[in-house]
Amino acid sequence: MLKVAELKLIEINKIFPNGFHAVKDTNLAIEDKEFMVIVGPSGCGKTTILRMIAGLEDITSGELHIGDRIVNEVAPKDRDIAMVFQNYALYPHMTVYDNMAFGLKLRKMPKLEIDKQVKAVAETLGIFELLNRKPKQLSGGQRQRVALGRAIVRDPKVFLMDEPLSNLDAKLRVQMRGELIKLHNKLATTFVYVTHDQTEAMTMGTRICVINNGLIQQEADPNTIYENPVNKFVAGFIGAPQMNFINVLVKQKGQEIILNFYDYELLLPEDKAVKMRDYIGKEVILGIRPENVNTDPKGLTMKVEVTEHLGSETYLYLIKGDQHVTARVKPDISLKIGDETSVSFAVENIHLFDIEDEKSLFYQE
Amino acid sequence: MRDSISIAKKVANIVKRPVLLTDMMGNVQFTTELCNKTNRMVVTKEASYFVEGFYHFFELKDAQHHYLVLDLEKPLTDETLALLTLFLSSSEEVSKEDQLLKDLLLDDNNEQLGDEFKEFLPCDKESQWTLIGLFNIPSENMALLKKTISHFFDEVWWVGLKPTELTIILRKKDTEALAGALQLRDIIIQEVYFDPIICVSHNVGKIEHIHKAYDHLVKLFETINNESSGIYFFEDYLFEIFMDDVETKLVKDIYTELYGKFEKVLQDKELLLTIKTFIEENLNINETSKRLYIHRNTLIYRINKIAETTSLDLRHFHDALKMNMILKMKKSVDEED
Repeated sequence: MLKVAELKLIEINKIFPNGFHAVKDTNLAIEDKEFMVIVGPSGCGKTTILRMIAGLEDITSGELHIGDRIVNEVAPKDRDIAMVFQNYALYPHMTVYDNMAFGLKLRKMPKLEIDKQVKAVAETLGIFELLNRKPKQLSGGQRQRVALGRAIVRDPKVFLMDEPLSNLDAKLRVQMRGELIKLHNKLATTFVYVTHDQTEAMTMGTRICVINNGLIQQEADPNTIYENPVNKFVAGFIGAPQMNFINVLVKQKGQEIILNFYDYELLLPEDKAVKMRDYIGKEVILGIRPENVNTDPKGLTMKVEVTEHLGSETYLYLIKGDQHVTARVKPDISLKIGDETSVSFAVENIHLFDIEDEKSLFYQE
Repeated sequence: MRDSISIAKKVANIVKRPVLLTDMMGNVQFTTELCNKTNRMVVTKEASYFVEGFYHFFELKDAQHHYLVLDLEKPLTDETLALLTLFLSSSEEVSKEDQLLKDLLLDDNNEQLGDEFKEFLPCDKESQWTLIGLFNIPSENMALLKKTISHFFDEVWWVGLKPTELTIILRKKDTEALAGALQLRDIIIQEVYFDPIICVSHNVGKIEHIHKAYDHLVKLFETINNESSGIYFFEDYLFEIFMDDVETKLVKDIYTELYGKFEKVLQDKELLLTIKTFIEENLNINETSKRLYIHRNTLIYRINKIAETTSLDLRHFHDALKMNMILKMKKSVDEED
């Protein structure tokens, strides 16, 4: 039977007994077969959302739908979900085969069916040849695959993953990211993936939901989140190195509108200037990503604090007064710590944020 | 009262398990609830429920509970003893191993029983024992939970002193038990679909001292006071456990005296979160700023601000320790209010 695993969170709130309001008025629709990444800093409420979907936390108010039924009161075991965590928990004294089969045995699935299921999933994950090994004979990546296998054999409607890669070393993490994307395509089912790592969110999610302080800030595909952030938080959280933020003054110069910082002036093109008329004489926050900061003899003079040579590119960490700016430049630029250089900001790529509510002034719905 | 105690002792000797003596008047529902919560035999006074109540309980009885209403106003007659015997013979038989494990946790007079325990608890001089307590277990999950645990550890004993609890006895150091508990929690969520409160004791070197570890485990559970599901390690909660034994008024008085000096910080949610995270991240500026998603300079600014208002510089261990104590006192006073 075809499983339709659409998830809907409607006006969901979670208030803990100590009064902490962890999740606030959350509305989120996760489509069938979608890879939704919920991302945000530590303590933002992302894991609480996942735990409510799993049924491990009560929902204080609101409705949670999985498929066509409301599951607020449905026991976790009857929600047709499977969970994967960062500890890649396995039974240490069982073989890989038994680890994958055990959950099915507990559910009294016939032996032949278990065997078929386990072998098919092992094949999918490329761990068939490891079926007779014990966990201690496996590498970290292999263990994580077995942990995934334990979840996949249950054939759930929805996979819930809570930072499943954070215990792996950097190289393996990159490799497993690719594996998970392939797996999602193969299984064609719904993945809800929680992480604090924006790189994981950007590379894996078909859609990203950015959360802060229990509130959804923005949900969209990775490109939209990167190019069209709704506020300063989203703009700063997504992207590495982080977007630069500079307080600038909006000024009128003849018919033009400019942004002023020290002696540097940035002329706004007409489409942007038109949105800034009400801000003349006020301070706003300029946001510019490191790849849009260019060396330019006519630009703003800054001092080099640190240089990072990554081979294909170089990051310059610059300072003027107490303002820090990061620039991504070509690797052939040779600058030393303490040198002075001038940079300009690519005006077509700038973001401006209100200094009070930090909302983007250029956000397009 | 003395009669009641002596009867209760006789009952305890016959049933070979602890008996809870209560003067609750024989409210059947209440007594049943008490039995369920404590998993102890309850001796209560109400005469009128004696026979009726007995059969009522008899019907309610399931394999995990043993309860009986006795009329304490009357002496323990042959008739009562006969009924008691009938009751016990129809109860689930408690294995010798189960009874010994219960004694091991509850009896502080285990020195004499050492050899008996060692028959089924293999150990040597090097053995270290740690307890893992699982609390708030829904009764319908108990059987599946036991299966999961028995397959997770290669060598494990468990005791259920209450229907919603399970104490696992491990021949391991506490650090190993803690690492096991971390994995076990995930396995329980995945297989049994619930998230228990897990408390891990410190390790003891002699099986005769396991009851001390159990006392501390129970104390830890009481101290965390039904906080959210998760893993709680005894050593991490030493301060809270001590505080739990200090007179509430004293804590409140000291906190009130200190409050003025720390008010600005204690009222500021952002600064409180900064302090908590900085301490959790072992006073590491980079890790804290990453976790709080703020620039390291912003963090340094906040730490300087805290130092200015409180004269405690969190970068220094002793100052951080003092601040940690003040935060714990705040939590204790807030909970009390």
